[in-house]
Amino acid sequence: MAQLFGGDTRLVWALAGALTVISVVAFLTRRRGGRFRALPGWAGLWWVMATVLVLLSRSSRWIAFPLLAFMMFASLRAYFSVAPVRPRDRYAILVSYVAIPLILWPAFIGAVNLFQAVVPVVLFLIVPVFLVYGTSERGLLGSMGRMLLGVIFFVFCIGHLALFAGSSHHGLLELFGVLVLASELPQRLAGRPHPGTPWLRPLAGIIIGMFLATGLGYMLAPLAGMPDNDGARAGFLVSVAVTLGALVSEAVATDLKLTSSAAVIGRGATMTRMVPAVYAAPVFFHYVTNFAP
Amino acid sequence: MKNFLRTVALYLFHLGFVRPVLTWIVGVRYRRRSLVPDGPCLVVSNHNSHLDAGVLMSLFPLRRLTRVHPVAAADYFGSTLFKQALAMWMMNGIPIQRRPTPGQDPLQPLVDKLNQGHSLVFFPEGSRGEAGVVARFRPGIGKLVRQLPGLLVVPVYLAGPEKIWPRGQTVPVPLNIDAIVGKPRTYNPEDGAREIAEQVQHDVLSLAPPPPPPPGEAAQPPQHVAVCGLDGKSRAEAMRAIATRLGRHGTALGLGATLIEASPEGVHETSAPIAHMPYRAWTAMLARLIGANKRFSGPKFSEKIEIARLSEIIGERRSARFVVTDGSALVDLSAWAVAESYRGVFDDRELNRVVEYLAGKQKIPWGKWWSFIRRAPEIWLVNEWSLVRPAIPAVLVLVLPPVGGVMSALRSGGESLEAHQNEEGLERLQQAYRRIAELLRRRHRVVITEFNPLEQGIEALAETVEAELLRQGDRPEVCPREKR
Repeated sequence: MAQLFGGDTRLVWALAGALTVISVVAFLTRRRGGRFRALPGWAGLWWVMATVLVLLSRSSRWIAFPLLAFMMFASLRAYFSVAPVRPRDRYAILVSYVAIPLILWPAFIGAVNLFQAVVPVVLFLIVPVFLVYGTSERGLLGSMGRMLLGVIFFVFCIGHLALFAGSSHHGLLELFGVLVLASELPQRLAGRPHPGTPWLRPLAGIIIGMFLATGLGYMLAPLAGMPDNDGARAGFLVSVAVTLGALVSEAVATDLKLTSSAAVIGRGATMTRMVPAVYAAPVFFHYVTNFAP
Repeated sequence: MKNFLRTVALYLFHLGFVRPVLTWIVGVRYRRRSLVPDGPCLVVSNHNSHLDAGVLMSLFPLRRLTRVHPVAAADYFGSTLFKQALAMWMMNGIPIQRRPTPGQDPLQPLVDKLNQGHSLVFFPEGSRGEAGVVARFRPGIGKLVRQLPGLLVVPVYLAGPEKIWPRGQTVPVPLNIDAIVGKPRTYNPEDGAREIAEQVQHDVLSLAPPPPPPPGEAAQPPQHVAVCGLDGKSRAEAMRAIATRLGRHGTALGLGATLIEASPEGVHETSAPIAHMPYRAWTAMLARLIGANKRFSGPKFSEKIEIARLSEIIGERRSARFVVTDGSALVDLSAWAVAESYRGVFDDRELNRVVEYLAGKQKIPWGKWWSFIRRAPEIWLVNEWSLVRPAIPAVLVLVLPPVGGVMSALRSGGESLEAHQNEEGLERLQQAYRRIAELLRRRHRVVITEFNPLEQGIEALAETVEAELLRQGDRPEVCPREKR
């Protein structure tokens, strides 16, 4: 506990404040229907994600990594449950699950270079091998695309969060959480852009989210040991990645024929709730480590 | 001692393995679990995997575990000691002979257990079968039900186990499972065993989630027709005629006092009224609580809400090509409000806002709450409680017979007239309907068709609506039946 709340906890409180804001907004709009229906579930998921982020940042890896691994497993499982998979893809699905500890191990021992080597080899070269096992190749490309997309979202992207675990990156995970929430809340309130619907309000949501994330990045980055200008740039990049992630997840949900209610509150909700955030994780990591060390 | 050991094994296995695995590894989602009765019952479901029994047993609370028995095939689960221990001890199963010897009643042990107040988990398909395929239910379930009249049968549909651990696979793969519980019911023991089995199968399959739409372009939402106005009988007849006519071009659902399903194959009408949904009671209660019964009786108000909700669900699921409703929560409630409470007060802009409040596009601001609660509580109720978001119809049929005729029909009915049922009140209501219709025409491009039952034929009206919808829909206009 002392480890959790020791040191500078201002970013933890900032994250808690952001969570409170989204929870209050979700509570106030819970009966409005439409795009607001997704807010309570999204806010609930973020309480879990924020807990994992804080634990990754401040607690023992033996506590934080199993939690992160379970979160990756549960989201991947939910994705495979809604994505059409062939019966013979089951071994590739198993390998995808097995890949989770393999991906997290380099992060656990702090070997970033090993992580960057293991991910492409394990995920992108070995998983397809299990898809071609057997005789018939009918539907192979479709299966491969679906399988690898799930692995990219829920193993590769989330795996980057584990790389922040450790004292040298103290506070960055909390900052990441705040920036994602700041980018995503205005977008969710304004609605996502859809073909054939007015684009002005969604565009306003995206722009407000960008300003909010950039401003918060500028203000909060020094608390994580980053120069304020780098924080602003990180906030801007996170909001761009969140926007792209939201567009991709909506398109994938549409292609998976998830009805609006399934994509908002049902089984498919994990994808639409998590993908914008996980999309931003590698972007934030590479910016912070390579351009704003 | 044997019973004690058996109970310990059962609880250890369920607490230490079955429930944690189902919760954390598989992630089962139970829907309407509370429908499982407290007393003895027979849980029946489709069967595709060894996981099914565990999922169905975990529908019951832990304290009832010793009194719940999955029915297991004696030939399969008795083949080795391991399988026997697993099925009969760890899972508390009851063996059933799938090929009984002559004179042996394989169902007798099950009947005994049910008579002792225990519950059973039963798979009427008899075996796991092909993954994702629900085989025909065997008549054994019917025979069991016939032996125990009044037995509560709980249908459950399991989606997911067939992907996790289908027959022929040795390694289970973690994926999510949905266990959808249906309403417990009894069956008529005088029906034949085969007939009962078919009814049970129908009840289980009716819980299955709708299949994903075929690849390609997504189905279009249905086109809505609302038949509103003063004369209830003419409205119902017009709704029926329009739904029947539209049924030539695809599935058309008519929602009124009863449900009409018209399709190129024919027309079916339910004999029971559709107004028996569970939420009817609480909608009526809410309406009574805030006094929203001034113009509609509580049941009539909730019937309107129900029809609108059904229509909303059909629209979301794309379950029909056309939906024709007798009345419209959107048009009727706003017309009543204008005629009774807000006459002369609203300009067009405010009236449009009322339509948007009813359609759920805007929330009534706090500052206007009191005004709405006092003068048009139905609108406040629908909006603030999000009871429904009635669709704006593509075509609105206004049934507007001469007021004199309506009054004489009401007087000849012999029932006491309500306060608004006089020439002046009905005239005002007709004007309000016309005003709302005009607004919908201008702002929402709704096509308005006025209908006077004394002057026009219902078939001509149906033909007009049909032509208009086909023009709007830009869909194939050839009736398959006529084509043949």
